[in-house]
Amino acid sequence: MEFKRKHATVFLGALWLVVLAAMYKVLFSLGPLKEELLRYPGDPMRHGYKIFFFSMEAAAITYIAFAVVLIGSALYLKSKDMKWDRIAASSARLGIVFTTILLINGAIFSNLAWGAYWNWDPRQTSSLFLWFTLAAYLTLRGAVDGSETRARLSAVLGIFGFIGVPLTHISTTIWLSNHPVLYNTAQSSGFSLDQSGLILFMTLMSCFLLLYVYLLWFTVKIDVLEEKSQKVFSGEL
Amino acid sequence: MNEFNSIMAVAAILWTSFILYTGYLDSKVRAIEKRLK
Repeated sequence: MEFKRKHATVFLGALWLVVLAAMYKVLFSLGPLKEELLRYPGDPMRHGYKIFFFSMEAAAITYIAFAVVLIGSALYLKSKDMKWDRIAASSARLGIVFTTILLINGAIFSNLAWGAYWNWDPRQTSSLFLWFTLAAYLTLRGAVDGSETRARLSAVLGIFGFIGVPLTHISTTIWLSNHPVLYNTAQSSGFSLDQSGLILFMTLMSCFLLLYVYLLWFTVKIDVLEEKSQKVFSGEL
Repeated sequence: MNEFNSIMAVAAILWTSFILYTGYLDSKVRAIEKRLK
Protein backbone atom coordinates (compact mmCIF):
# COMPACT_ATOMS: atom_id res chain seq x y z
CA MET A 1 0.00 0.00 0.00
CA GLU A 2 1.31 3.40 -0.93
CA PHE A 3 1.88 5.74 2.00
CA LYS A 4 -0.28 8.81 1.61
CA ARG A 5 0.14 11.96 3.63
CA LYS A 6 -3.30 11.66 5.26
CA HIS A 7 -2.33 8.26 6.71
CA ALA A 8 -0.12 10.11 9.20
CA THR A 9 -3.19 11.67 10.82
CA VAL A 10 -4.98 8.31 10.96
CA PHE A 11 -1.84 6.82 12.54
CA LEU A 12 -1.78 9.57 15.19
CA GLY A 13 -5.48 9.03 16.02
CA ALA A 14 -5.11 5.25 16.27
CA LEU A 15 -1.99 5.61 18.41
CA TRP A 16 -3.79 7.91 20.80
CA LEU A 17 -6.77 5.53 21.13
CA VAL A 18 -4.32 2.78 22.18
CA VAL A 19 -2.72 5.14 24.74
CA LEU A 20 -6.12 6.08 26.20
CA ALA A 21 -7.14 2.41 26.44
CA ALA A 22 -3.84 1.50 28.16
CA MET A 23 -4.18 4.48 30.50
CA TYR A 24 -7.72 3.40 31.42
CA LYS A 25 -6.42 -0.12 32.14
CA VAL A 26 -3.61 1.23 34.33
CA LEU A 27 -5.96 3.44 36.36
CA PHE A 28 -8.95 1.11 36.74
CA SER A 29 -7.79 -2.49 36.20
CA LEU A 30 -4.43 -2.61 37.96
CA GLY A 31 -4.75 -3.32 41.64
CA PRO A 32 -3.37 -1.18 44.47
CA LEU A 33 0.16 -1.63 45.83
CA LYS A 34 0.69 -4.73 47.99
CA GLU A 35 -0.28 -4.28 51.64
CA GLU A 36 3.21 -5.09 52.90
CA LEU A 37 4.72 -2.28 50.82
CA LEU A 38 2.39 0.38 52.29
CA ARG A 39 3.85 2.48 55.07
CA TYR A 40 0.57 3.22 56.88
CA PRO A 41 -3.19 2.77 56.30
CA GLY A 42 -4.40 5.23 53.68
CA ASP A 43 -0.90 5.68 52.21
CA PRO A 44 -1.35 7.76 49.00
CA MET A 45 1.16 5.44 47.27
CA ARG A 46 -1.53 2.73 47.36
CA HIS A 47 -2.67 3.94 43.93
CA GLY A 48 -0.05 6.63 43.49
CA TYR A 49 2.61 4.07 42.48
CA LYS A 50 0.93 4.04 39.04
CA ILE A 51 2.59 7.38 38.27
CA PHE A 52 5.57 5.18 37.36
CA PHE A 53 3.77 4.20 34.12
CA PHE A 54 3.76 7.83 33.00
CA SER A 55 6.91 9.36 34.42
CA MET A 56 9.08 6.51 33.13
CA GLU A 57 7.82 7.20 29.58
CA ALA A 58 8.56 10.91 29.94
CA ALA A 59 12.06 10.09 31.25
CA ALA A 60 12.78 7.67 28.39
CA ILE A 61 11.61 10.14 25.74
CA THR A 62 13.68 12.89 27.39
CA TYR A 63 16.80 10.70 27.14
CA ILE A 64 16.00 9.80 23.53
CA ALA A 65 15.38 13.45 22.63
CA PHE A 66 18.78 14.33 24.10
CA ALA A 67 20.43 11.49 22.19
CA VAL A 68 18.87 12.72 18.92
CA VAL A 69 20.12 16.26 19.67
CA LEU A 70 23.60 14.79 20.24
CA ILE A 71 23.58 12.72 17.06
CA GLY A 72 22.02 15.51 14.96
CA SER A 73 24.58 18.03 16.26
CA ALA A 74 27.54 15.71 15.65
CA LEU A 75 26.37 14.86 12.14
CA TYR A 76 25.80 18.54 11.38
CA LEU A 77 29.35 19.44 12.44
CA LYS A 78 30.68 16.61 10.30
CA SER A 79 28.62 17.13 7.14
CA LYS A 80 27.44 20.79 7.44
CA ASP A 81 24.09 19.57 6.15
CA MET A 82 21.25 21.75 7.53
CA LYS A 83 18.97 18.70 7.63
CA TRP A 84 20.77 17.46 10.76
CA ASP A 85 20.53 20.85 12.41
CA ARG A 86 16.77 20.88 11.81
CA ILE A 87 16.42 17.41 13.33
CA ALA A 88 18.46 18.39 16.41
CA ALA A 89 16.46 21.60 16.91
CA SER A 90 13.11 19.81 16.55
CA SER A 91 14.24 17.13 18.98
CA ALA A 92 15.26 19.81 21.50
CA ARG A 93 11.84 21.44 21.20
CA LEU A 94 10.11 18.12 21.84
CA GLY A 95 12.64 17.31 24.55
CA ILE A 96 11.75 20.39 26.57
CA VAL A 97 8.06 19.44 26.41
CA PHE A 98 8.77 15.92 27.66
CA THR A 99 11.22 17.17 30.32
CA THR A 100 8.49 19.53 31.58
CA ILE A 101 6.08 16.59 31.73
CA LEU A 102 8.78 14.61 33.55
CA LEU A 103 9.25 17.38 36.12
CA ILE A 104 5.48 17.68 36.71
CA ASN A 105 5.20 13.88 37.06
CA GLY A 106 8.19 13.93 39.41
CA ALA A 107 6.58 16.63 41.55
CA ILE A 108 3.32 14.66 41.81
CA PHE A 109 5.26 11.52 42.75
CA SER A 110 7.36 13.47 45.22
CA ASN A 111 4.22 14.81 46.91
CA LEU A 112 2.67 11.33 47.14
CA ALA A 113 5.80 9.59 48.37
CA TRP A 114 7.67 12.20 50.36
CA GLY A 115 4.99 14.77 51.26
CA ALA A 116 6.27 17.80 49.33
CA TYR A 117 6.18 18.72 45.65
CA TRP A 118 9.86 19.64 45.53
CA ASN A 119 12.55 17.97 47.65
CA TRP A 120 15.83 18.73 45.87
CA ASP A 121 16.25 14.98 45.48
CA PRO A 122 19.27 14.30 43.18
CA ARG A 123 16.93 12.83 40.54
CA GLN A 124 14.67 15.88 40.64
CA THR A 125 17.56 18.32 40.64
CA SER A 126 19.38 16.63 37.76
CA SER A 127 16.13 16.50 35.73
CA LEU A 128 15.79 20.23 36.32
CA PHE A 129 19.37 20.57 35.02
CA LEU A 130 18.27 18.74 31.84
CA TRP A 131 15.38 21.20 31.46
CA PHE A 132 17.74 24.17 31.81
CA THR A 133 20.15 22.63 29.28
CA LEU A 134 17.40 22.45 26.66
CA ALA A 135 16.14 25.91 27.59
CA ALA A 136 19.70 27.24 27.07
CA TYR A 137 19.95 25.41 23.74
CA LEU A 138 16.67 26.90 22.48
CA THR A 139 17.50 30.38 23.82
CA LEU A 140 20.85 30.25 22.01
CA ARG A 141 19.10 29.32 18.79
CA GLY A 142 16.72 32.23 19.22
CA ALA A 143 19.51 34.69 19.94
CA VAL A 144 21.87 34.06 17.01
CA ASP A 145 21.25 35.50 13.54
CA GLY A 146 22.49 33.64 10.48
CA SER A 147 21.56 30.00 10.03
CA GLU A 148 25.16 28.68 9.66
CA THR A 149 26.46 30.34 12.86
CA ARG A 150 23.32 29.35 14.76
CA ALA A 151 23.65 25.75 13.64
CA ARG A 152 27.36 25.57 14.53
CA LEU A 153 27.03 27.15 17.98
CA SER A 154 23.96 25.18 18.98
CA ALA A 155 25.56 21.94 17.74
CA VAL A 156 28.44 22.46 20.19
CA LEU A 157 25.99 23.12 23.05
CA GLY A 158 23.88 20.12 21.95
CA ILE A 159 26.93 17.83 22.21
CA PHE A 160 28.14 19.12 25.58
CA GLY A 161 24.57 19.28 26.95
CA PHE A 162 24.27 15.50 26.64
CA ILE A 163 26.43 15.12 29.76
CA GLY A 164 23.25 15.73 31.80
CA VAL A 165 21.70 12.45 30.64
CA PRO A 166 24.19 9.94 32.16
CA LEU A 167 24.42 12.24 35.19
CA THR A 168 20.63 12.08 35.71
CA HIS A 169 20.68 8.34 35.17
CA ILE A 170 23.31 7.63 37.83
CA SER A 171 22.20 10.44 40.18
CA THR A 172 20.28 8.04 42.42
CA THR A 173 23.30 5.80 42.93
CA ILE A 174 26.13 8.32 43.30
CA TRP A 175 24.25 10.72 45.59
CA LEU A 176 22.02 10.06 48.56
CA SER A 177 18.52 9.75 47.09
CA ASN A 178 15.06 8.53 48.05
CA HIS A 179 14.08 7.85 44.47
CA PRO A 180 13.05 4.23 43.71
CA VAL A 181 15.40 2.34 41.38
CA LEU A 182 14.61 -0.15 38.61
CA TYR A 183 17.35 -2.60 39.48
CA ASN A 184 18.91 -3.89 42.67
CA THR A 185 21.68 -1.80 44.15
CA ALA A 186 23.62 -1.91 47.40
CA GLN A 187 21.20 0.57 48.98
CA SER A 188 17.82 -0.77 47.87
CA SER A 189 16.05 -3.50 45.94
CA GLY A 190 14.66 -2.86 42.45
CA PHE A 191 11.09 -2.10 41.55
CA SER A 192 9.21 -4.95 39.85
CA LEU A 193 5.98 -5.30 37.87
CA ASP A 194 3.72 -8.32 37.36
CA GLN A 195 2.99 -9.58 33.84
CA SER A 196 -0.11 -7.47 33.10
CA GLY A 197 1.68 -4.42 34.45
CA LEU A 198 4.66 -5.14 32.25
CA ILE A 199 2.48 -5.51 29.11
CA LEU A 200 0.73 -2.20 29.85
CA PHE A 201 4.07 -0.55 30.52
CA MET A 202 5.58 -1.80 27.24
CA THR A 203 2.44 -0.72 25.31
CA LEU A 204 2.56 2.80 26.74
CA MET A 205 6.32 2.99 26.19
CA SER A 206 6.12 1.98 22.50
CA CYS A 207 3.14 4.31 21.91
CA PHE A 208 4.96 7.30 23.38
CA LEU A 209 8.07 6.40 21.41
CA LEU A 210 6.02 6.34 18.19
CA LEU A 211 4.39 9.62 19.23
CA TYR A 212 7.85 11.17 19.62
CA VAL A 213 8.89 9.90 16.17
CA TYR A 214 5.67 11.27 14.65
CA LEU A 215 6.10 14.68 16.34
CA LEU A 216 9.76 14.85 15.27
CA TRP A 217 8.82 14.11 11.66
CA PHE A 218 5.99 16.66 11.83
CA THR A 219 8.03 19.48 13.38
CA VAL A 220 10.88 18.95 10.88
CA LYS A 221 8.26 19.12 8.10
CA ILE A 222 6.92 22.43 9.47
CA ASP A 223 10.49 23.82 9.60
CA VAL A 224 11.11 22.85 5.97
CA LEU A 225 7.80 24.43 4.90
CA GLU A 226 8.62 27.59 6.84
CA GLU A 227 11.96 27.96 5.02
CA LYS A 228 10.33 27.23 1.69
CA SER A 229 7.55 29.79 2.24
CA GLN A 230 10.11 32.41 3.30
CA LYS A 231 11.89 31.81 0.00
CA VAL A 232 8.59 32.18 -1.86
CA PHE A 233 7.86 35.49 -0.09
CA SER A 234 11.35 36.85 -0.72
CA GLY A 235 11.05 35.93 -4.39
CA GLU A 236 13.90 33.39 -4.44
CA LEU A 237 11.60 30.60 -5.56
CA MET B 1 -12.26 7.93 42.42
CA ASN B 2 -9.06 8.63 44.33
CA GLU B 3 -7.02 11.80 44.11
CA PHE B 4 -4.42 10.24 41.85
CA ASN B 5 -7.04 9.18 39.28
CA SER B 6 -8.44 12.73 39.17
CA ILE B 7 -4.97 14.09 38.38
CA MET B 8 -4.53 11.50 35.62
CA ALA B 9 -8.00 12.29 34.20
CA VAL B 10 -6.96 15.95 33.85
CA ALA B 11 -3.67 14.85 32.25
CA ALA B 12 -5.59 12.63 29.78
CA ILE B 13 -7.87 15.53 28.81
CA LEU B 14 -4.90 17.87 28.29
CA TRP B 15 -3.01 15.27 26.23
CA THR B 16 -6.09 14.48 24.12
CA SER B 17 -6.62 18.18 23.37
CA PHE B 18 -2.96 18.41 22.34
CA ILE B 19 -3.29 15.41 20.02
CA LEU B 20 -6.50 16.81 18.47
CA TYR B 21 -4.76 20.15 17.95
CA THR B 22 -1.79 18.36 16.33
CA GLY B 23 -4.23 16.60 13.98
CA TYR B 24 -5.76 19.96 13.10
CA LEU B 25 -2.30 21.46 12.46
CA ASP B 26 -1.46 18.47 10.29
CA SER B 27 -4.46 19.18 8.06
CA LYS B 28 -3.30 22.82 7.75
CA VAL B 29 0.25 21.70 6.86
CA ARG B 30 -1.16 19.35 4.24
CA ALA B 31 -3.07 22.23 2.65
CA ILE B 32 0.09 24.41 2.54
CA GLU B 33 2.10 21.52 1.05
CA LYS B 34 -0.47 21.14 -1.71
CA ARG B 35 -0.33 24.86 -2.49
CA LEU B 36 3.49 24.95 -2.58
CA LYS B 37 3.75 21.96 -4.93
